[in-house]
Amino acid sequence: MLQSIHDKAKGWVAYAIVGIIIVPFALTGIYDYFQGGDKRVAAVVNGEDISVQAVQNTLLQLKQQLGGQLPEGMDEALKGNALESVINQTLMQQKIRDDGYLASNQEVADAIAALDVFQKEGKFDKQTYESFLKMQRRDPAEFEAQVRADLSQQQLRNAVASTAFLPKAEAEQYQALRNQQRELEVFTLKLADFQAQVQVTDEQIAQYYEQNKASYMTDERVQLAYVELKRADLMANITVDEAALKTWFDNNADTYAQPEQRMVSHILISVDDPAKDAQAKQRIDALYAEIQAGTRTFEAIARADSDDKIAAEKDGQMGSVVAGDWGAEFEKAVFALKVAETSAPVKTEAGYEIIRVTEIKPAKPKTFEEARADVETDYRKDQAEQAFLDKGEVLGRVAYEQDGDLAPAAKEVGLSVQQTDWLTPVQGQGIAANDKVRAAAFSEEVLKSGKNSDLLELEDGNAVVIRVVNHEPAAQKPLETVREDIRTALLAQEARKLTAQKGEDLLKKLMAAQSWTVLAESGLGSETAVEKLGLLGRTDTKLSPEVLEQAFALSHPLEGKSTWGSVALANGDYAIVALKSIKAGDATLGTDAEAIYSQSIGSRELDAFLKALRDSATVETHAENL
Amino acid sequence: MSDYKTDDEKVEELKAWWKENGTSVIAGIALAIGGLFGWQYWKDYQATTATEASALYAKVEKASETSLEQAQTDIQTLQSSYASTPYAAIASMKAAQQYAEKGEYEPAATALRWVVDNSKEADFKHLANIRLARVLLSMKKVDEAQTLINQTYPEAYQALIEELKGDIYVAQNKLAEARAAYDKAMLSAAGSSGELIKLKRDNLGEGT
Repeated sequence: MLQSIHDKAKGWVAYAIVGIIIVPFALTGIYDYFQGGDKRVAAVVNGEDISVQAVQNTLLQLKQQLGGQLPEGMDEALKGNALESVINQTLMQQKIRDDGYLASNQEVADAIAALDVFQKEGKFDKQTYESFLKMQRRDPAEFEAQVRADLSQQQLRNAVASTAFLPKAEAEQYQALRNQQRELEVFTLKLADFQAQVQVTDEQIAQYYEQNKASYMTDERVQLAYVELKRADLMANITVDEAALKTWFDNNADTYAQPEQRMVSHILISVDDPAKDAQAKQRIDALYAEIQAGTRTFEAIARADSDDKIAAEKDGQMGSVVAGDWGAEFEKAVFALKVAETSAPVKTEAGYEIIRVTEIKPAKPKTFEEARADVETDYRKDQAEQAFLDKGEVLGRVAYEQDGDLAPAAKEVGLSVQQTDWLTPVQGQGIAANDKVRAAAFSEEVLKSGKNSDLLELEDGNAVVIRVVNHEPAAQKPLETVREDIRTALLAQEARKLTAQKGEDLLKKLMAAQSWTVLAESGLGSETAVEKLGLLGRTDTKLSPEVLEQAFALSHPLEGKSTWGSVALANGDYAIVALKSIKAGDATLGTDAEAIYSQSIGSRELDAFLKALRDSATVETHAENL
Repeated sequence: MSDYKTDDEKVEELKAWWKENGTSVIAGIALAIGGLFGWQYWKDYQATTATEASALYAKVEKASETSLEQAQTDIQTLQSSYASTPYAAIASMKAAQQYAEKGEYEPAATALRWVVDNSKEADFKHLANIRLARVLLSMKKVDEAQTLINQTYPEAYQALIEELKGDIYVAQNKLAEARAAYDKAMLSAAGSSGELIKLKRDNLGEGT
């Protein structure tokens, strides 16, 4: 059969078929080639793939915003946040596209004009805008598309958030409630008054101890023997001889020399669009002809015609050029010139340029004597680094080979074995202040098997090997040592209970009697101890916020009666509140109040809107790919 | 495929085939190209419509702060000529906001009803309904508000709906039901945004 295919696969028909087949292959091949990067998918949102790469980028931004070191476990949570945020972004973009949000040219222009970086003396400056984009190597069309996309997204959010409102009547109702005042009377039962009345028996203490044994344990702790390899010590111990320094200097003379600088001026005709290359070439050639003919000077042309507007202001001067900081073509041209020589037009990375070197500051090599101090520091650093690596390798290896003892490893590198104070899995001093050291100290290998640890690198760049010399497992604290702690805790607990109990009983009596007169009968205090506070607002400081909040959550009092309520305070006291009357608040709306209300409802409505968007989407997440 | 053919025979066959199907193939290709151009034209048309509407809305947003009358013409243009863009609905909601905050509930309600009746966007309709219910309550049209709120809304609007139910119950003096509704609303409203609900809820007390 293969033979028959082979026989027939001849002639123009076959070629035509192959030709047709090639096209899609070539296209998909190119597509894959340009895709690049991590192609795994972090989520699929309404059929649209979200790449792992996109989520990683967001994650990186989140981390940079938080800055510094993150607590453990935070990483997972952040990953979740990043994924959520990219999903929501995608949903919004889809919605913008599907519903047809598109900011107008005028809005895009206004938004760009409003950006500080493009302004000159408080006004938008077209030249600043263009040279800024050129410096950033961004295409104006692409930049404007980005601004348009951002604006469209802003429009979607604002569609909900900035059209939200509360009708005037409703806003006034809130305002009135906010400004409401309540006439209050408060009596407080003090915990201190009841403390003497409670007792705790030894049985209660014993029972509490039995029930809470786990809270009365000593911490597990260890003492470590360790050998520490210190960079600073190694650096101080390097023997320096002149010959070695001299050799070092000779080998690295370049680093101690000041490189050659060339002061350069140029005329630039930039080429943004490869299609206009020829046009640019024609222009630069015409300008060059003018210089050669002497009709105009280099400076005049640089001022008037150069596309480098920043240099143009200074007759084309672009400052000093040092090899290595610029594009290769440009440097090649610059370093081929003599002082005051003007180049013919050259094609560089930026377009076409005519380049002139106005001054050459030759490289200034330093003599050994001039550089000696730097040379010695660098030499020591280099040698110490080498010694650190060598000794670290030996220390780690010997500690591993003879893992029952640290002495042989210490001897091999000429250091002594030291010992730490006690440390627990969460706390330690000296080298044990380092998390890695403590983790290693309580690891299976080191603690259970009694072996030397691996070579551990500390934050300061030093390295240690540790082993456990003393170990105390967590132990039950005997009852006797904690008896008084428990007694104090139980006494406080009982006193609280008693105070609250008395308070609740009193509250019932007060509700029934509708008068503070029952206070005296109950023997808990006299009417004079009642604080008659009068009308108070929600944020009045005459009363603690705890009591105030409760007082403002009491029902409106009925005619001729008070509403009674109570609250157990954090300090154990028990407050009883009588709400005598309520005074409606001023409902007049200030502009601030109105803005706060519409913002509050706006943010709730936007949350709901975005949640609805999310709920109605088909989202498939692959957190395992992150 | 056992019978061998020469290239000439194949050419003959192709010619015959072309004679039979050539017209439809050309028509197909022409249709495809036409479709492509048509599609492109349609996309351009849509983009133009969208940016025009966006520009109009920007005008409305600016004007509405100072003079609603001035904005009114643009809003009408958006509603009549750009109803297919989201900007018509947004402008209407903006107008509703400006009226309602001034206490002019009738025109606010009209603007919101336009969104409910004409927006292509389901979530704008839900939001407009919820806002309309608030406006109706402020007009003391409690039954109408209740009818709106009794419609079905997606889960995401739960807190807003429960809060409105609470407001309706308060207006009907059904305080126990109002308390329960506010409590539900506070459960589903996250964080400090529930503060205003708490203000209303606390004012009802515990009852007896």
